[in-house]
Amino acid sequence: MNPNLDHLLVSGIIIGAAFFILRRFLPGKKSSKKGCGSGCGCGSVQKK
Amino acid sequence: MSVSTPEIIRHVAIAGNPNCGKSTLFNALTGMRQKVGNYPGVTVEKKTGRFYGSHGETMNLLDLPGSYSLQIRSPDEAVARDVLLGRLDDTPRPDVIIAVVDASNLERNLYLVAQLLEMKIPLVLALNMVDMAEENGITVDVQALETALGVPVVPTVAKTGHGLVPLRQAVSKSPLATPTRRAPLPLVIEREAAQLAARLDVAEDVRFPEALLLLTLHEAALRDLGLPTALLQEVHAAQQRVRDASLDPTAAPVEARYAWIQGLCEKAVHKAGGPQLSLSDKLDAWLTHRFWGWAAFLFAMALMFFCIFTIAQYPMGLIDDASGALSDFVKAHLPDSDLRGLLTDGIIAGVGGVVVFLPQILILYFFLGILEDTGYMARAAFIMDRLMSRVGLHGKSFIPMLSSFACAIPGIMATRTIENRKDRLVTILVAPLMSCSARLPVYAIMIAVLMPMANAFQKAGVILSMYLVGIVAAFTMAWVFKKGLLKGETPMLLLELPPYRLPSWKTVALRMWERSGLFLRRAGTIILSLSILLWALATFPKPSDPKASSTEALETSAAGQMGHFIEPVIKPLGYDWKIGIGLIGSFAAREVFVSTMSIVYNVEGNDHEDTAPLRDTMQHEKRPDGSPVFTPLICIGLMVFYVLAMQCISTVAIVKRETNSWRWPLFQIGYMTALAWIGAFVVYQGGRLLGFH
Repeated sequence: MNPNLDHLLVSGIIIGAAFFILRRFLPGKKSSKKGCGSGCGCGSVQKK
Repeated sequence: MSVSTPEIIRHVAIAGNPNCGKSTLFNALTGMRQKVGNYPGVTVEKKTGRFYGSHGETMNLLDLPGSYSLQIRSPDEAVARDVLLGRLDDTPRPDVIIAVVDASNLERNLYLVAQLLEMKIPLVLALNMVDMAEENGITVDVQALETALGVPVVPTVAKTGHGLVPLRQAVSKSPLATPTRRAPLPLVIEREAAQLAARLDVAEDVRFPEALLLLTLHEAALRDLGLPTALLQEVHAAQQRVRDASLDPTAAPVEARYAWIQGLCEKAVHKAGGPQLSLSDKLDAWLTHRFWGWAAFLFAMALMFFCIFTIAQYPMGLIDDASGALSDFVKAHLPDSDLRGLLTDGIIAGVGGVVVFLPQILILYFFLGILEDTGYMARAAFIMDRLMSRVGLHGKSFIPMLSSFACAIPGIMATRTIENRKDRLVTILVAPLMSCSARLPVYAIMIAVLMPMANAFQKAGVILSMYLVGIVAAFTMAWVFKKGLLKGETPMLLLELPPYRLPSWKTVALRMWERSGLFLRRAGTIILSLSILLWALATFPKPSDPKASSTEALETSAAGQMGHFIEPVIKPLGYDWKIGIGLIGSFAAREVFVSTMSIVYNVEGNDHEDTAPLRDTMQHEKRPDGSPVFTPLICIGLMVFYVLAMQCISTVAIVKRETNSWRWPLFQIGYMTALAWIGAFVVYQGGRLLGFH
């Protein structure tokens, strides 16, 4: 495999994963419609 | 073309005692899947849905948390009272109430109905679970009840849908008559309530019920309301006039309502063969017994863990093989590169290492579902309460702590049923000590390393003891908090034991389906992302010497450096820097420990293209001096560490939200990490002192 392509793909995947984690847990993230809003995926419906 | 929202013609509220089937009726009418359970306190917030009347008219349906009366204190119970009195801005006062009563316990259930009749809102009585009442030899004369109450009475079995059509018809009737009958109260109370009502600045139709509630409140509850001084003085004066007439303003209305209900039940309820012990009563004599109750509880738990180990091993083997085959396939089709390493050692090893535990988690939820649905959980709460009250824990803490066996998040949310702030905080602080399902993979892998040849009984015994360590730790810490930081009186537990019933397989299957979906979603998102990051940390920076061994490469990596950084702190626990990587990696989610170990040892094993199961690799892992890394003391110490450590960022987030401050979650992380360190230290050093290794 071309080393540059290898490097590019691996970096892209790692940055994507880091972005996902930061977006999920850092404050300021809007909670999804389903779930308690903590990002745990527990499915508990929270009504305010 | 535009689609218009159907006009809501009526707001209907479902009210009733806890565990009389309100949520089941709500689900049956709306087609929704609200969580139901055979124990009180499942609904802690009001839930809304749509349903259609007998002529297709749209109605808004509100499921209120259960309450025994309208003189209430806890936040969830207050919701019901506030909605019925039209005190909430976002919820209109209902046009109709469906009062759900358990036909087997009519006398007690009708108390709330007696208060609802005072609300002057049209009411339809759903006489629920008539099938179970008949099984217990209780028949209710519907006609007589209807005449006595002056409202429509519809026999229902919400679980099977029986009686839903006449119930819809009764609710859809137009115009609906306002109840004219209610329990007659002592004259002096009627007079004082009417005088007080004239002074209240609220809507005309709720004046009398509001005044009656004020007149019958205890002093402490009155103070909590924060009434204007003039009004408070008037309430005090009215209460004094009631006392002058030799009546207790709080107790007299209760007695009057019960006397009315008793007369009513004498006419409408017939019990075959006089009072006799039902099957539930006979079972309870054993299952809530001081000794046999505990024996049954431990047996149920042991059976659950035994099945988790025996039944799950076959599907787990299949998932393990599939993950190995996928890894081999990628290795065969991709040239040696970082991408291949990421796919095989990072993603497949990391996610596969966690997904392999799906069968065990499914079995755990199968058993929890059955225990809940049969009504056994309320008995478990009862026998636990004896212990809990000794450590100062509120009886209502049991349901939150029980929910925490599945996941601490719903457990912490369920603490809303606890009225006292200090009791609620204590429960929030200790709930994550109960072993959640995310700990199961950690226990399972450590048990596999610790005792590969052991039978399922022995494995179940170890895992049961870990659950007990969690329970004991939670109770001990609750006792410590109640003695110091959050000192206060503990009220008594008033717990209703619902009748035993056969579990609804649909409910159990639905719960397993939902939980497995959530588990897989979590594996495909958070665990996947963390596995990728951990692989990156365990791979980069690479050693300058391309011929360096895999261990040297891991030591040079960022993860290796972090592991070495915390090694002095974890060395007294017997852990090396590689286990340190696991502890750091699983800070956000504890099950990631398994993924991290998979990544650490797969990254190491690259030299030999080793795809042996993680368990074998860990068993053969040696220290520089040739001694094994994962000795029995280390394995037990690690399990104890994970029983006691917080290691869950989602729980931190929910504690922050529920306590509305960062102070408590940070305190919780601190105390639980310290407790985990001390627990693992005691196991390792204490075990060595006793001659174990």
